[in-house]
Amino acid sequence: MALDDVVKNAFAQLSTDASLGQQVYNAVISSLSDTLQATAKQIEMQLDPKVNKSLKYAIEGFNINSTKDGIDPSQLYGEMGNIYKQNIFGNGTFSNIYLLSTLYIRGLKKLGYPDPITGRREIATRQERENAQNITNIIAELLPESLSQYYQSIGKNVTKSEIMANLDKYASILYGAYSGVTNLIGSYIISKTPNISLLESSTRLMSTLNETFISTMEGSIYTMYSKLQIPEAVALILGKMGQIGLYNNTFDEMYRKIGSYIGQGLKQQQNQPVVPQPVQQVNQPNIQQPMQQANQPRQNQQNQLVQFPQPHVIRPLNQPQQNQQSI
Amino acid sequence: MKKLAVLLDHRWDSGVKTFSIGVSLSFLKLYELLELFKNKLGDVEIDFYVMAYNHYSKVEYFKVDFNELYGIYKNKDIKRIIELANKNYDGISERIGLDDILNELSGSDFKFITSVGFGIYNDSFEKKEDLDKILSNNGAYMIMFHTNYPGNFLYNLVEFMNSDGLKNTSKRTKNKIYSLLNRKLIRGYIDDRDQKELIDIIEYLSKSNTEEAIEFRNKYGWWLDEVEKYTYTFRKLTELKNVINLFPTYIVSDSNSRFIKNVSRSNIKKRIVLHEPMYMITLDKYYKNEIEEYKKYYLDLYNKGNKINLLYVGRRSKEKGIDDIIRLFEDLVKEGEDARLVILSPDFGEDTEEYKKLEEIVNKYKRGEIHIYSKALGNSLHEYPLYYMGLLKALGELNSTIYINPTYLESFGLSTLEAIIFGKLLTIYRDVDGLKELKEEGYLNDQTAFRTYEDLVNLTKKIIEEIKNGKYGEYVNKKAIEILEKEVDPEELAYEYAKIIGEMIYDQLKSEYNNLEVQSKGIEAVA
Repeated sequence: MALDDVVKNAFAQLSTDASLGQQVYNAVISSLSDTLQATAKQIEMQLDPKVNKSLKYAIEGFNINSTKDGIDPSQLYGEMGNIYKQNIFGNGTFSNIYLLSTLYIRGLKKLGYPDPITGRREIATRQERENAQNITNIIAELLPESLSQYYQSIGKNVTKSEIMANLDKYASILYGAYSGVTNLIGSYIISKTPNISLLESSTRLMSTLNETFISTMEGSIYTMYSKLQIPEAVALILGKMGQIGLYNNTFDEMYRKIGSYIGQGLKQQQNQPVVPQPVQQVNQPNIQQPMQQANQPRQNQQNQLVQFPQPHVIRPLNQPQQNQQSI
Repeated sequence: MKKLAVLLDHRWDSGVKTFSIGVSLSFLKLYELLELFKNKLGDVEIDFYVMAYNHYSKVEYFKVDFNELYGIYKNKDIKRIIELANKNYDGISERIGLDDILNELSGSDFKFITSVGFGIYNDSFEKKEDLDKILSNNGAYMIMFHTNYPGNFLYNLVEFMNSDGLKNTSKRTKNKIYSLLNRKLIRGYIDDRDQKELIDIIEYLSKSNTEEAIEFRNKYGWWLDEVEKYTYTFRKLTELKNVINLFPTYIVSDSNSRFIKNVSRSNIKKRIVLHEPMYMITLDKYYKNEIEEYKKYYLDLYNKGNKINLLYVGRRSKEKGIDDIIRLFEDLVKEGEDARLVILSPDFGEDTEEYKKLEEIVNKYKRGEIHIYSKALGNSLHEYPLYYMGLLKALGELNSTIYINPTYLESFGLSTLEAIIFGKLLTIYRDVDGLKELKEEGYLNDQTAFRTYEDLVNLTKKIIEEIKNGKYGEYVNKKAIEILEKEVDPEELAYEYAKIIGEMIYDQLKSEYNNLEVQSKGIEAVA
């Protein structure tokens, strides 16, 4: 299954969710589905070692070092994947919370806050900071909700506002736990072999996979937010997506895709035809009236008038508001 | 064969991208000229490389299929070129990696980089070695300084001081920064002494162990890193042998050059001041009839009643003076003027503080009207620039529209130029940076410049009275604007670029020839 199919299936399930409402689905979800499928296609390219050089070197290093050490790279990759999945996705409800906490802290780091584990600061671009502000707003809605639901499910009474008051602390600990999964994988490698090169290439590969997964989730949230600029609504959809397993299905698909390059030489794959690169298309704002349209011959003056952008008008309340109409 | 590479910075929808699009048209024209003289000049290849953010805010590079783009240019389908450029040439470009861009640029005889900030906010150039590879003294360079950097850095500091994030900043530090801004607004530029004081403040905030400096670094460390990266790039430029530093105005040239000398203690060598190419000029040449249709439409829309229109075009940001324009509108409406404020701004959504404030004003005084065109409201005129040009022409014909530019920072003033060129609009502007220079060159009327908010209010009231007395035309110098129109025409500027590039390549060849001659004499002497 390709990544865009994972998204497509998730949205197909959401369409039947009564709590979202059919009208909401028609208006919002269908447009999000198309956009996110396009995003998924774009991400797939990041999983192609021909395009993503960092991934290419990580896979090559892992293949070479494990083979040198007499370890079957595919088997080791499978074991590493299991450690990751058990720790991150082992507890269904909590896995969403792990992920949201990680996204939240990554957002805060981009906004200038230090990493809660290492204390290091990050330099972010203006665009990254803008995106991070949006993502932290969205997650600040969603994470307290998810946490309070979780605690209620285990019989602990805590209100959403109590969690909100300490959100950074909850998120920091869970972010630390999530980040720790790479070290767990590292310790597993060390238990098998003293080979430091294999340790480094294994953790590098899993970090690359982890980074791609997390960036994908961030990217999906940005995409959703750009389409639907209501944090509460994005939070609702994200919550639903988590419940129906979109996150771990996405990870599984990425894991499988990278796995197809493990244990084999890349040369053979490089001969495969290059997939067209739709990278920029997804980035483009929706152009309300593309250039070509204006090249079309106009039918008549009346038709022409209705096509032109109309001012959005603000008038005193006692006068009629005439947005998008003639003044 | 000579290779010319143009690195177009399309990372943000800002003045740098607009400039890059204008430059693309200039270089297409340049290629046409080179093709004409191919027999004498030999083969020349031009390549366009675009840097843009991807969906994850990471910088990616694209190589444009120049031959295809040139084919479109030859057919004079300028709209298609602008459309492609706005989409970062999607469809006629291929994505390339960091190594590719480094190799391609270092293998070119001439490199034009459209933004001196190409290495800043660019995760690809995290390693200084990569930046060094691009600025490696290999071949000739032309680098554009679109921004007045010291002015920008000062305004950033003012914004940080105004934000709620800094609790420990002393009154002394704040006053120092505010005084610098005040002096800049009074003079219209930052003098040398103030530049040094600005550098001292940045140095202090970067290195001191006082509580306020530590807090600043915790909060705005990213900004200090940004300044440091600029300084590094500037220093590299002073070391390059064959580089032309390009500036849109003398004020920006002077300000940046002094700043570079103050931070790096060495001078940038060659400076050229050249107006920025405006792609709308080319659109105006080729699509007059279509624009005329839009003009008629907007003329019909606005030619009712006898309201005075105040036009604001720009981002919804403090440094652009958005607060001043809203305050001005309120002051006018409060005093009984039934004015119409027309806003063209990409991010002016209904949920913004400014939108709500405007709503409050018209409801409070039961007077005035606001028209907004914005991407955030789905009715942007800039998405299809011919609409925008049509609107400007229509507002110009009404003789009752005042274009107001209350910006605190303006290196060149593209929007102002668009307003005066296409609308021949009466313009009230802050007497600062590039706008001050346009005034000194006679393109902007010296009687309609202001410095403080009080000046702005008084001037606007006076001008409204003058307009009501039929004196609109007295404030617009149409002849000067016609001259200006040629100076910002991308196709005219192609000749200027040709001269610069020709001289640079000649200098380079001469220097290579001299080196060879010295070497061969050395060999002869040894023999």
